[in-house]
Amino acid sequence: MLKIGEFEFNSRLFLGTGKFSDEETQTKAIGASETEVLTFAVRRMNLYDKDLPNPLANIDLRNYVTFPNTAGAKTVEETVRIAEIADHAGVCDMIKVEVIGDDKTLLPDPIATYEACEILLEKGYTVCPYISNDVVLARRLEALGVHAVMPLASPIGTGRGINNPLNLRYIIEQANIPVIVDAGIGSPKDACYAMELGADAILLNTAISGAKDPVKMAEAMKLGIEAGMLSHEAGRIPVRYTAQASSPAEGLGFL
Amino acid sequence: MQCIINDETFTFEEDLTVSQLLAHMDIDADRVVVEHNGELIKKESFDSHIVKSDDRLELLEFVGGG
Repeated sequence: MLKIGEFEFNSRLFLGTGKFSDEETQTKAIGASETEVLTFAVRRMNLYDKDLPNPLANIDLRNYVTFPNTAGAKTVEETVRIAEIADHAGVCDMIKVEVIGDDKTLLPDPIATYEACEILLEKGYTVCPYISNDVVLARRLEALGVHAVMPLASPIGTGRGINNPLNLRYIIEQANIPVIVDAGIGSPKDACYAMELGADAILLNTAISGAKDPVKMAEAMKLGIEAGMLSHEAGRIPVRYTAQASSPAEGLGFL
Repeated sequence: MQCIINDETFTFEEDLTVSQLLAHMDIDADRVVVEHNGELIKKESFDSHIVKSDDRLELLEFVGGG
């Protein structure tokens, strides 16, 4: 069982709710993923087009652990403000601290992330920061008291999979808090690989919502994550340079 | 009464409660988060909280995101 702060999870798939084509697909994909955690964002309401689709509007968030992000924030103040808005509305069980430091790569600002985490921890939030593959930052954030760290697989929405497995492994091996791999997952093999490396959970969005069949992909991701976790627990064989016969070398005298 | 909502100027005939203002604008009160002059307003206060001239409102909502 995965534990983050006071919350416990059976599912290791945390699901973002962006970019689904329609509400029905989103609802079915959420069901197929068997996620217990939904991530979403805070935005200004469109004052003119009330019919603008908001697939999230009809989801009963009370059935999930709510995990809003602070996406769009570029400063510490903006990050804290978004968290407070979500908390005020009663949909902030945990907060995904996401402070973008670069518009092109959408990579996080490590210093602003650290400072925002410090403030949100003081205010009593369950804090999970989105970070680059930086083992030192992960350690510093853990020492600060965050409840999980969320290193990226690769930049948001790229679907490039695990860009830096070595650094990701460094983070996982030294962490004493959950490690949620977040962003850049493209297919179930990426999610499986992250779990094989020892990640505790995966947060993904576009890989499911952008798939040709999001509902089927949600199930595939669920299975990939389960397979990766089982593989990690089972312990994979070492990678060798030369071939090792799997059939006995003895008993070939009849040939 | 003239106030600023999401950075735009809106004009109403008189001061309004938040509930009345939302109704005027045809906005679902269950869906919106209201910030009034930088202060987040509880839904329970929508009926009593008054919006006056030169006040600033942010009308926010939760949308899909990852």
